[in-house]
Amino acid sequence: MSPERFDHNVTPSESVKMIRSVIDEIEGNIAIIGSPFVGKSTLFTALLNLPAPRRSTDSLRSRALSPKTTLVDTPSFPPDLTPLHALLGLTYPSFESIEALIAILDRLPEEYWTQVEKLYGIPALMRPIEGNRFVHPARDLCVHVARKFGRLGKGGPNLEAAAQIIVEDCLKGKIRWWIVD
Amino acid sequence: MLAEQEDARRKREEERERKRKGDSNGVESGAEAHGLDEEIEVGNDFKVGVQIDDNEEEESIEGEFDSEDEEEDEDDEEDMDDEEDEGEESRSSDSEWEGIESDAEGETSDVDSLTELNTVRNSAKPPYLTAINRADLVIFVLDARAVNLTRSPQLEAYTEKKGKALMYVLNRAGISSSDDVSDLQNVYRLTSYSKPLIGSLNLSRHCPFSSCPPNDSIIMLPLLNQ
Repeated sequence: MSPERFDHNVTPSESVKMIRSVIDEIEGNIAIIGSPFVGKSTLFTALLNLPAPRRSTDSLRSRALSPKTTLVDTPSFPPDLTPLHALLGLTYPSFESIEALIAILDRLPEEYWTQVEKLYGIPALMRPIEGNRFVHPARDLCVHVARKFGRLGKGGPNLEAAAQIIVEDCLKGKIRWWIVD
Repeated sequence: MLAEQEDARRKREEERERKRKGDSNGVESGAEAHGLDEEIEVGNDFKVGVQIDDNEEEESIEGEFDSEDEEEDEDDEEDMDDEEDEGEESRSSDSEWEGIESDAEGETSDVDSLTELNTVRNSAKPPYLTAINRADLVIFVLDARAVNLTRSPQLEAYTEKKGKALMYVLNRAGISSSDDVSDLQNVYRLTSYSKPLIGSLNLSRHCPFSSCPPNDSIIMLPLLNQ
């Protein structure tokens, strides 16, 4: 099969039509399954032309897609959480997420670290290269970000808040990275 | 003082006895006043009831207890039956999992993790398992950025074991590092899948953060054996 490229110009309505064209041929129940925050309920509502969900699904929810077809939305199955899940917005962030991010950035080309340095105004000397390595890279990065964004608490920099900022920047694409399956 | 108290007690007891007699006489008289045999019978019954009241009550109470005991026994038996049914259900559910295990040889680890996934065995099945059991088609929604992190081989195996049609929807492919659908297929090893349908969907999904990726996308890969 010839490789197909993902078409970024495809509109959401076209995508929904495309999906409907397939599942409309099916008679019976169609269940939507997935791990948390992958977009099960969003797909469910998009196919039914309903408003977007505002909270996570905690029970089975079914709606008639056609007279012969019922669409069923389900709660998430419990995933085996890793620090990467938070970096992908698949769970809530933690400090371990930043450690995972740094471990990934260490493996990537230098341009990725340059991007992070630009974003947070980190001195180049702090870069975790050979011979100039952070003692605690994740902690140092979070401390720097907390100071820069004023996330300071009574006990010092709020590292969890800083971690959340970094993870949000990952999700927004400000920090480019990707994982290798 | 004691003698006076004893006299007072005797008087009270006598008054009580009079009241009792008066009541019974009243009933009898009341029954007779109606001039109905039935009422007399009722009165006789009542008399008998008064005389044998305690015994009857005891009998009736015993009977009630007996009946309650019987009911309890029946309930117990029903409970036992229910427990046996539950046991059978649990056994049947075990057999279901064992079925998967026996068929999926060499994938016992997956099955083990599936049993872990179904954390409370004796309680109701998780909603997603119920949905899979009742579904004709199961759509697995995955994150295209982290396919292996968001998929569940155990549930996929369970779905296939149940003979349900299976479909993957890869969400957020627009922000995935790989635009090449064939790469995704290789990751998935979707050898039995037909030509993938590719789309894009702006997903204003529920997000734990204040902002979400703006251009989430979706790729759908239908299964051949629909």
